[in-house]
This record gives sequence, structure tokens and C-alpha cells, in this order.
Amino acid sequence: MAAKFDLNDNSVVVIIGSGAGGGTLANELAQKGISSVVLEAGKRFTLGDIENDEWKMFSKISWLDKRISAGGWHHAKNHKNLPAWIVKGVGGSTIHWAGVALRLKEHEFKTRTLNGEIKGANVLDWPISLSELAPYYDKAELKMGVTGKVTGMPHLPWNNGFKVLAEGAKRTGYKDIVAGPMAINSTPRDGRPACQQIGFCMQGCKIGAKWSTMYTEIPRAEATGKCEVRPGAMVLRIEHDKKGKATGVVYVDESGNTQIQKARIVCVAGNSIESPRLLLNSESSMFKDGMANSSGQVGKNYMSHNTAGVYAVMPKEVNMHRGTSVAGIVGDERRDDPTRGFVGGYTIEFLSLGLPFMSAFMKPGASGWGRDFASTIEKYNHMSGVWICGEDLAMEKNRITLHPTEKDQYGLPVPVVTKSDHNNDVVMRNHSFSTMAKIYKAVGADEMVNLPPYPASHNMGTNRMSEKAKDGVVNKWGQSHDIDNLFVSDGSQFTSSGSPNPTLTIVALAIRQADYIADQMKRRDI
Amino acid sequence: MNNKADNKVSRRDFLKTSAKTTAATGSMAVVPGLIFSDAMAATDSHYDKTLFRIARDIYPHEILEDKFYAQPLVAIKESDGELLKQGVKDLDELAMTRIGKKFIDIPEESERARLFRSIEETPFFSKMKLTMMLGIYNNPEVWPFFGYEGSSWEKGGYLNRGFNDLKWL
Repeated sequence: MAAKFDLNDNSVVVIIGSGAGGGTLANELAQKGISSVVLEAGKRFTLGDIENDEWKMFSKISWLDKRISAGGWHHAKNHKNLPAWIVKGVGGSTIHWAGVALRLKEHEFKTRTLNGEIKGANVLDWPISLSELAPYYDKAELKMGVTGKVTGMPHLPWNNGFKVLAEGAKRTGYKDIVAGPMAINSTPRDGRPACQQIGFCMQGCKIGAKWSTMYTEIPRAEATGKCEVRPGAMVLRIEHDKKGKATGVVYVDESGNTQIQKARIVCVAGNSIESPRLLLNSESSMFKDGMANSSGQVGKNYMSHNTAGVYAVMPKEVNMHRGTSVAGIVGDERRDDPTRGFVGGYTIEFLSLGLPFMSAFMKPGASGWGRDFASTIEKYNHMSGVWICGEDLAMEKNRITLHPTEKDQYGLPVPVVTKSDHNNDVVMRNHSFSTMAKIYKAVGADEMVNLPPYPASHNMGTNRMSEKAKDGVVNKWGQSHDIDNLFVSDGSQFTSSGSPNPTLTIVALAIRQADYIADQMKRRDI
Repeated sequence: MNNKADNKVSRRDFLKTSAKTTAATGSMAVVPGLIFSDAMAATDSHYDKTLFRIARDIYPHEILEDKFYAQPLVAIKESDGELLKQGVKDLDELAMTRIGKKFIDIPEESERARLFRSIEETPFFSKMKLTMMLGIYNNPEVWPFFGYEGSSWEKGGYLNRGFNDLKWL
């Protein structure tokens, strides 16, 4: 039975957001008997709301509150008000994610130590190592049902599109070619069915074979009687007392009424645009630059992964739309090897798009029309393609700021997302294009199309972890350096982006953070 | 709460255009529209002929019948008549200046495409392009021509319907 807490109950943990970070944290705390109120800006969806339709689902679940893209990335021109492609709903972007559950590699925790200071960047080591996080990665994989050794669940079968990529990679000399690890059931597990190769993973899994907090962590947390989820609750600001301790949050509820929920602890998990935005909006006479911002790093170091798309037109039919959207991975280029001319590595991930999205993303921008466009897309069912997910270096000028005059429907300043490429991004992206050309030509591709980045589904770094308080926003537990009972529980904690999709790491960090919060509460330290 | 309006704004910016997205659902094959659009494909009106030619030139697919290009135009003629009329007028003027003919009288597709290049950033062209993008590629009736099969969950996905049937490698 879902709990119901009083607005004045100051014993609860208030969690802002219900995605990979917030949803997991709520359930972990609930299982330990710790009460929480989850404030989720979006509404509650059911599996009945999920449709196999790209545009309908985009309209239904996306976070479409006004945002502005700025800086040198092509989004500033081609996706002016959609810098990021994330979800507004109970379950957050775990409804949209494709299920790729890779771990960060050892070297990805040590960007600064391995590379020194990188000109134009603001890179830093994580205050934790892979060995510290490894046990939590195991727990995350067991919780989510990730195919591979930890769960013992076999990887998913190879679909047509991945077969083409894998064969090309093999012929090019690549070795690390795997249909996983994916947080998608290949066999029935944990009350959820096995994947039926429906496709449309990123429009929400219609049968719940893919892990999402929407139908796992959230209902389980509620079932303990220790968690209350309030959908449609947009948090405006975090309040604090004279000592600077967080005391509660001000939010607008489903009916449009402004409420204050008292709290013992506040955990921010609204994704890497909303989380820093909330801290910045929580400015006060005591915290003039926003809460938890003595370092001045809140909102800075925004990372979205260094990405690109590549689609190859093959001589015969592929039908890539059949089956899992991200069906497999080539991992060889994830290595740390500066001889390639760039820092960090990149993951090559098979990714199918439906015809509607292919038409929008194959050549976004004004010039995507005409005979060449038409003749390429006419061969849609001959295509196989990938998404490149590469290390994106932290840069201070890539950041979330508040618009000086423009306000959203809640009266809050609209967030401005400013991002430009580092030269490292350009070199790496070009390397990935030439890699993909080799791979697909090895299996006879007739034609290749390189796509610029999509609106970002991976958003990281804007409240980063740091050893020293001056370098970042939170410590190695995601706890604010400045305010003991204020935590960040989403991907904005990331010190580096690495080359894996971020969800598994967000979940591992949330499990670890729950242990820490429980311990600190027991000790009465917070 | 103006969520609905905001959604529209973001979505059309997503596609970098200024169009309304009423044609976005793919369910545009309403009967009155069909009759109307068939008439449009066979029209004598210079305005209709020009819009139709532009629509085909933006995404030229010989595999598609005229009706698939005419259908999406029906709705925007209603909603954006002024923009479209002015756009056609401007395009004809440009064609006259550069080539000495009205747009639809230019026989070469590549010549017409060159004119498009110089207007591709205009609200008129963006509107036409978004309308046709959604009208063509988001129309389930068109999908079979491209080998796209659309919604699959109700058929049990592709687990037993060819997700791994590729044999030619």
C-alpha cells in the first residue's frame, strides 16, 4: 500500500525525480524501511499508454518544457528548443532508454591522472575507483536483470541489423562483439517476460521486458508502505534554515497549487538539466549563486557524450527495424589509446530507427530534402546503422544557465543548454566515421550516411563528484560538499562521461548512496 | 497551464520548422481529404499545381502515387493559406528572375532544386518540408513502399517473424 505523508512531516527523505536515480533510490530506501516522498514532474503512465509509434510516443512522454540550445553544437540551429531527448513521467528516462547496461572502465575514472590537464577542458578524476563501484554494479545488474555473467541470463539473439554490423566488425579485425550487456530479459525473470523482438525499445517497452523504474522500482517502493509518489509535482526550489541545512522543497502539485513538503534529507534526481537548474533556482541571501554551489561548478561541465550516427545501405534487405533497437555492441574502441589522436574511447552500438525518425534525423536541418535524400531513404529496408557513444570531455563553458528574462509555465527561468565541441570530439567523431566506413564496406555497403548528434538522451556532469570541494558539487557519495542533507542522485554527479550509456552507473551509484544515507541516518549525522 | 502549446513549439523546433503538426499522426487518410486531394493532384489551378510540384520535388519518390503528396497539402492549405500563397508567388518571381519561367514550367528537376537551395531556410519551404516529411514518412499507407512494418507488439513482435532471417552475409 502506497504511503501518504503529511506536508509537515519532516522525517521523510524527499526525492525529486523518479528515473534511474530517483526511482532506484526510493526503492532502496524503502526496502531498508526509510520513508520517502518522490516528487515527479511528469504523470504516471501504464503499459497501456505505450504504443509502437515513434512520433506519438515522442509527443506523449518527452520532456517538452521550454529549453534553449546555445553554443556551437548543431542543436543550436537544428534543435533550438530540444537540446535533450528525455522523458517527463513516472519512471523518467528509463522509459525511453534502450537498455544498454555497460560499466565504466577503469581508465574512465581517471581522466585527469592519465591525461594531465587537457587544454580547453576541465577534466577531473572520479573520487571513486572501479573496484569501489564494482560490487554495486553487480547489485545493479541483479536488480535490473542485465544479460551476462552476474545474472547468468544469456545475451539476446542477434537481429538482422546487428548481424551485418558484427560481420563487418569481424572482417575488420574487431573482437569485442557482443549482443549485450542489456537490461532486457532474454528469459522470463523477476516477474517480467522475455523480449519478443518488438523493436521500439526507445518508445517504451510494451511488455516490460526492458527494465524501467516505471514498473519495477517505483511500484515496489510503494508496496512497502514507505514511499509516496506524487506525479505532476514540479519542484520550484529547495528551502533551507539559518544554518544552511535543507528543510524542504516548494513545489506545484498536479492541481496547480503551490505546496511545501518538509524533509529530513533532500535528494535531487531530475536529470542533468533540471537538477542544476533547481539548485541555481534555489538561490537565497545565504546562497547567492544557488545551493551547493560554493565551487561555482553547479551547471558546468555538461556532457552529453560525443555522439554521431552512421547508416550503411547494404546490397540486400536487412530490415533493421525488426527486433531490439540496440541489439549489440562493438567495444574495441572503448580502450584508452591516445595514439589514435584523441583522449578516451567510444562505443559502437547498433541502433535501428523507424522510417519516421530516419526521415527526421538522416539529414536534420534545412538541406535535408531532394533527390539524394529520397533515393537513400528509399533503401530504408537495406540499412544497418550505429550510434557512436564516445567520451565527452568536461568543459566549464558547456553548461546549464538560467535565461535572464524568459520564464516557463511555472514562472521559472528557462534553462539554456550551451555546448560546443572540444577538438577531441571532432577528432574522435571523424575516427568513428572512418571506422564505420571500414566496417560496413567490409560487408559490401553501397552507400554510407553520417548523421550529426541527436538531441541528447545522455546528460551528465552538471553537479559533479569531486575529491575536493573546490572542484565539484558533491562528494563520492553524491552528498553536497556544502550541505550535509542535500544529495544529488542522478547522472549529473558524473565526473567523466566515459563511453558507456549512463543508466547502469546511475543505478549503481543510487544503490550505494542509499546504503550511505541509511548509515548516516542511523548515526544521526544527517 | 499551457503545456499543450509548449509541446507544439518544441516539437516543431525539433524538426526545425514552423509548421503545425496536425498532420503528424499519420492518420490523414480521412475520406473528405482523399476526395479533395485527388482533385488537387489533377488540378488546373496554378497555385495547386505549384504546391504539388514542390511537394514532389522535396521528396521525389517515383514509387509513390500522387495522392500521397496531395493528401498532406489539404490540411496546410486550410491552416497556412497566406504563407503558402505568398511562398508560391515569391518562388515564381525568383524563377522568372533567374530562368525566365514560372516554377512549374521549368522542366529540369535539378534546375528547380537549385531554386529550392536559395529558399530552403524560409518559413514557407520549412513548412512544406515538415508537412511532406510527416505526410510521407509518417504515413502508414506509405510504409510498405519502403519496407517499414510499423507497430509489431500486437503481432507478437518479430520473434517468430523474421528478426534474424538474414542469410546473405
